[in-house]
Amino acid sequence: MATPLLHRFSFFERIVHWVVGVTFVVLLATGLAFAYPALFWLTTVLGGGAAARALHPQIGSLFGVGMLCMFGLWVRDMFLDGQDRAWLGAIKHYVTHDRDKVPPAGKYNAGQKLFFWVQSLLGIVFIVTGGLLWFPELFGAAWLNTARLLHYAATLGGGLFLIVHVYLGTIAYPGTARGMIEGKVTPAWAKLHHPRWSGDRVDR
Amino acid sequence: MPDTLAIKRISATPSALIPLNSLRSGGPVYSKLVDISKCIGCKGCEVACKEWNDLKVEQTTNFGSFQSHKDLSSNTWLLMRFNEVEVGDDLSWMIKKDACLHCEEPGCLFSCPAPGAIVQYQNGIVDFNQDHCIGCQYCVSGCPFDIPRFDKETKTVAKCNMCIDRVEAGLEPACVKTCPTNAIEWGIKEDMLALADKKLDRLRERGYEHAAIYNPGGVGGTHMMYVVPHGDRLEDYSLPAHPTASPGQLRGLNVLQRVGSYLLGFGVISAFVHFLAVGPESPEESA
Amino acid sequence: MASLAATFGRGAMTNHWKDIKNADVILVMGANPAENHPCGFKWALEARDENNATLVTIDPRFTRTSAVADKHMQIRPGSDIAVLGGLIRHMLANDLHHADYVLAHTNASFLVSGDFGFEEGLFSGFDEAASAYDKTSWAYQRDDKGFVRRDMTLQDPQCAFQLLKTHYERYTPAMVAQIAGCTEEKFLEMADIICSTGRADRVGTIMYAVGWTMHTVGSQIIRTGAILQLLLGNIGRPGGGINALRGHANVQGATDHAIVAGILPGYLKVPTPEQATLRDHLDASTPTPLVPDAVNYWGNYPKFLVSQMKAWFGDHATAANEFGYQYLGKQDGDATWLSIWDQVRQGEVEGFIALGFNPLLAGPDVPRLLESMSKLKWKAVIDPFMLDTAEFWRAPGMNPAEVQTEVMYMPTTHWIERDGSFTNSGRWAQWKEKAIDPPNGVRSDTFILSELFWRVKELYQQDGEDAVYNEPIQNLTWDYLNPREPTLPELAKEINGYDRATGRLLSSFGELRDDGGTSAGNWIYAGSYTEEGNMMARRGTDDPTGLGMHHDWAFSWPLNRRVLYNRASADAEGRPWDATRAGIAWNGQRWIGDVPDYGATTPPDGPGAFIMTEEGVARLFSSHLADGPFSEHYEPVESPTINALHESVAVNPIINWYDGVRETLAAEGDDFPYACTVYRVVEHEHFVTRNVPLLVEAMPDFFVEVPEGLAAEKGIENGGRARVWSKRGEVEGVAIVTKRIKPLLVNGKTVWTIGIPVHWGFVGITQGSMANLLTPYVGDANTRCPEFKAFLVNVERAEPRTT
Repeated sequence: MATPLLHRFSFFERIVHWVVGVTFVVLLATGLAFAYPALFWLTTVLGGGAAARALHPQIGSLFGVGMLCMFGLWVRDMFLDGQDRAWLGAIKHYVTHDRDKVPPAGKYNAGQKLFFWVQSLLGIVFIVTGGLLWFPELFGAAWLNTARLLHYAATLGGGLFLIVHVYLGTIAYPGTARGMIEGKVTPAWAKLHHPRWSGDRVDR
Repeated sequence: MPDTLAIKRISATPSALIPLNSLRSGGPVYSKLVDISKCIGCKGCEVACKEWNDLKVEQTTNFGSFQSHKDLSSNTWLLMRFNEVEVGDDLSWMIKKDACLHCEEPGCLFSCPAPGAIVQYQNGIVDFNQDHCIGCQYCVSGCPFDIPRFDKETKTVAKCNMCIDRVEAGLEPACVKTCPTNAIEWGIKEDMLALADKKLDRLRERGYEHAAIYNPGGVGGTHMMYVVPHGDRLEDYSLPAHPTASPGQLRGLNVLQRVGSYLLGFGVISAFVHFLAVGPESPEESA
Repeated sequence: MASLAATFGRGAMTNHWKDIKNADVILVMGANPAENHPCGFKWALEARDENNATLVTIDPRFTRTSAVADKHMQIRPGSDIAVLGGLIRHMLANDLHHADYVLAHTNASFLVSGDFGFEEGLFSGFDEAASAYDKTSWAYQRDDKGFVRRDMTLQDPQCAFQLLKTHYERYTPAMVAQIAGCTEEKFLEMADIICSTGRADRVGTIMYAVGWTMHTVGSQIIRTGAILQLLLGNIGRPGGGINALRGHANVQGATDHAIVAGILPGYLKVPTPEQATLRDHLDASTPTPLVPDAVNYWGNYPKFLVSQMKAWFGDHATAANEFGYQYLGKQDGDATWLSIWDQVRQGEVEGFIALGFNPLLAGPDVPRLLESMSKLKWKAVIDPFMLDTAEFWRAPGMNPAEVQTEVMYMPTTHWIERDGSFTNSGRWAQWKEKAIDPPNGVRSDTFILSELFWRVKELYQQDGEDAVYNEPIQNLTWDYLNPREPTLPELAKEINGYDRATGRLLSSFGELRDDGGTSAGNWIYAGSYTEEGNMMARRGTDDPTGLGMHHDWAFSWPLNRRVLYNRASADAEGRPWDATRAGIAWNGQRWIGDVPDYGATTPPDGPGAFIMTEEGVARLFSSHLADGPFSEHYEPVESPTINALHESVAVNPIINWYDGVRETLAAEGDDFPYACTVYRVVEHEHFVTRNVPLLVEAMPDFFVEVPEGLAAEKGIENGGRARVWSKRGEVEGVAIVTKRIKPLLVNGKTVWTIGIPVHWGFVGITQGSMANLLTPYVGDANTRCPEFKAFLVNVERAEPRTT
């Protein structure tokens, strides 16, 4: 008899996550193409430069909507508590898998919570500056350079986060991705990574 | 025979930063010279520009000026701007031919992310190639003179191309050909500078002590230069006093681009090193 | 240009376009060449930059010409004679005139009858009842041989020079400022520049156009300019002259070929009913010399007229039938624009053919014109474009149901669709070639006119020999390869003229004869199409003098002379006044340089320099105009102020007043406080370019130019709308609020000026108010050219259009 799995993410949460995830990857690819002449060939994925220019902001709109949903869905769980602060103090042990010295995390650990807040901030920057870049003829060229600068900077942050996020969610912590694919995780995984949440589940 | 259309820079390629020094260069470097003191504001150039380049007629309305359009557009690459200014006791009706100045260091080209959408030729002409334009309008923000205009229908940007098809055939641009008073001259840039000096002498003799040549160094000089009677009142001619553009003009962006590429690379490498060092952490599956 | 003929003997621009580059001073007044003659204007700028010339403008508005000028002076519309008279006084008071020139080449020394006088605005001989002058007292004093008495010391109080000096003595700088509204300082600043050319080594030119002509004193304004240039010694010299700029490519050509009232082609005179025989006409039209050695070239008048009649009637013109003199219409009264439409208004005219122009927009007082047009039974309009004239029945305010006129419209070729010649302002007849084919089915003017001729002739043939005026129609020569559509080279050859015995094309009007042995359609064009070919098509660019004469380029009437009266460019001994700008020079055997307007081998001590006058010199004092031997400042018929010189004679005393016109003028108590003037803009050519999208784009809408201060007073915003009305009509359009028109202090009172462009009507791709809804139905005392340029209006803010 198989071990009963714990329900971690609802269908809607997963959809939202993947919308944001997939659109971000496409946006990053086309964005890099616009930023780095050597990567301009990436626009080919969307049908060439003009098509990429046209689609990038439209896909960006979808990304923005996803970000907003994500924020609404998860914001209540993302405030840091006392244990989270302790967790952050022991982040070195978390990285080296020195699990005993890491205070137990709830449904999300403090790193994930911070990740959430930073990505939300980046999302706002993407949406606002992206709007300016989408229709420069409406807002005037004066804003364009500033908007570009901020948009690029946000991209860097986002790109770096993507690497960390994907690495941790797949290779570093096997079993994690399952939660975002099937929506369920094993009790063992939960106990290891989110002991307090796991305990909650069991109590119920 | 040097090639009149040898290329100097192509947008979004390494040549945007380091100009090509083609074997085919060494041909003539041209410039227009607009003598504002000789311009009568007849708009012949404006009409000739439209005729030659087959630009669409736009519905205009008089907005309280002799000026035909309020602004340049993707179908109006050349606009005569009229401005009445009191200079001391006298009135000056400043009439300026507004169009692309064809910078030696073209800010539009430096800003352009689309390879080949903007090309600078060794002869000084900066041309937009709409086939390669992606419509991002970064060139608009890159231009210190506010010249390129976006076409909402074609989703591309357009501006004066110095009638490059005429120049290639050994002719002068259409505006030069049309100008009834020879206020727009065309020739080798050095000759035009010499001519401008001569015109300056005459203007000073006529009492225009602040007369100046407009060939701003901030953009490496231009291939449409002006002889400006009131050189101390550039803003009244809507000419920026210190326009700048250089391959490094978007320094913030360049730094970010470089930092960004290292940072992303660093991210990937760090993850890999982490994997090798501490490996994955799997939960112990209880039976 | 009656006044140029009255002064020099020929009514044409004395110099030519490219010659303007040779000037030291260029006065632009009554013209706006940057806008209306932009291509020719390049030579003024060339003079400014390459010849260190000073370019000045005097105008009611700061124009696009002013924008590139060295100095501009604003004056009130209609104050031109005051300003020019002031310049003459300033020059004479300060001895700035070119004394040697004046003595050698003008009638300064001619003594005038002691009966001549001028008092309170009236010259001697005024007949109030006839509203005309009896010119008897304007005559010269004669010796017993009938020649004019002269005083070469110029001291005799009756000599033209002293009379001139006395006459203009009243035009002090203070008086000029009071009338024109400029300041004395500004006037003196301009005067010093303009009068700086009264020397052998300096030369100045005047560029004028209809800003001078279109006044009730238009001819006299031009006369004043001509006198000014004579005193400065600027006539006949390269870089000098008085240059009448024509408003279309071919106005000069049209005038040469008699598209003005009162002349036959080549400025021959239209016979009058009193001239019952050819002899009568020739006697009245052929001048006799007033000094012993005058060339008096108009003495050849009989040769010109007989040859012309031979061109028209061919073998039917014989000595026995006075060469067809009786075939010519004898004109009673005048056939000027205003008079024709007045006759239409009186119901005396049944039909009207408008060919190549747009009468409704071209004449003054459109409401009156519409009333007149409605009285026509039929009207034919022949033009490349549909015209307001053809659709006058639907003009704003008209009720089509009340108009009974039958209107026919025939499309014809545009000049761009046919070969032919243009004669430009500088008298250069230049052959051009067709650029594009006309639209399918559109026929040329020559086809339409030939067809008209043949059909009229056929109608006469049906009516039989007794029909009135049958003979001239039947005997008219129509000898072309295709008589239904003559080619333009055929016509050009006919105009040039033939030796009738041999069929050889003439090369000079010197070959013309009065015995019927030669024919020439227009004597001044003799030499334009010779056995060597079409001289008008020449395109040689050689310029050996360096002065831009280009004798191998096209043909310049008369006889390819580039500068008229060029004998006056040299002194009494034949030495050029200025060797660097020699018109012609005597080398001991003959004259070299330009084609001499003088005998090619006649020594310099021969006849006077002005071969077309019976005096042999140019006329400072001239009895050839109707309203005075000198000019005098009269106010426009609608003036915002009194005549400061003579209040009792405010306006030109010999204006012809058409029926009902006085009632259409602003009267005492009416509220029309602002001076107004009309003009063209460079983007449009009269009423044609309303059909050209690119030009409509460049200047889309009818507008009203309102000075800044007045606009503020009236609450008119720049780009908003303004309504302007005169006693005759009203216009409404976009307001251009401008710094370029300043308030003027005239006779102690502030006067504002409003500007109105003329290009709009109710047909075409841009439509707007007709400027001539405002203008008065009154014309110059000599030419009846309407007073478009100065009248009174009121102005107010108008609400934005909702549609």
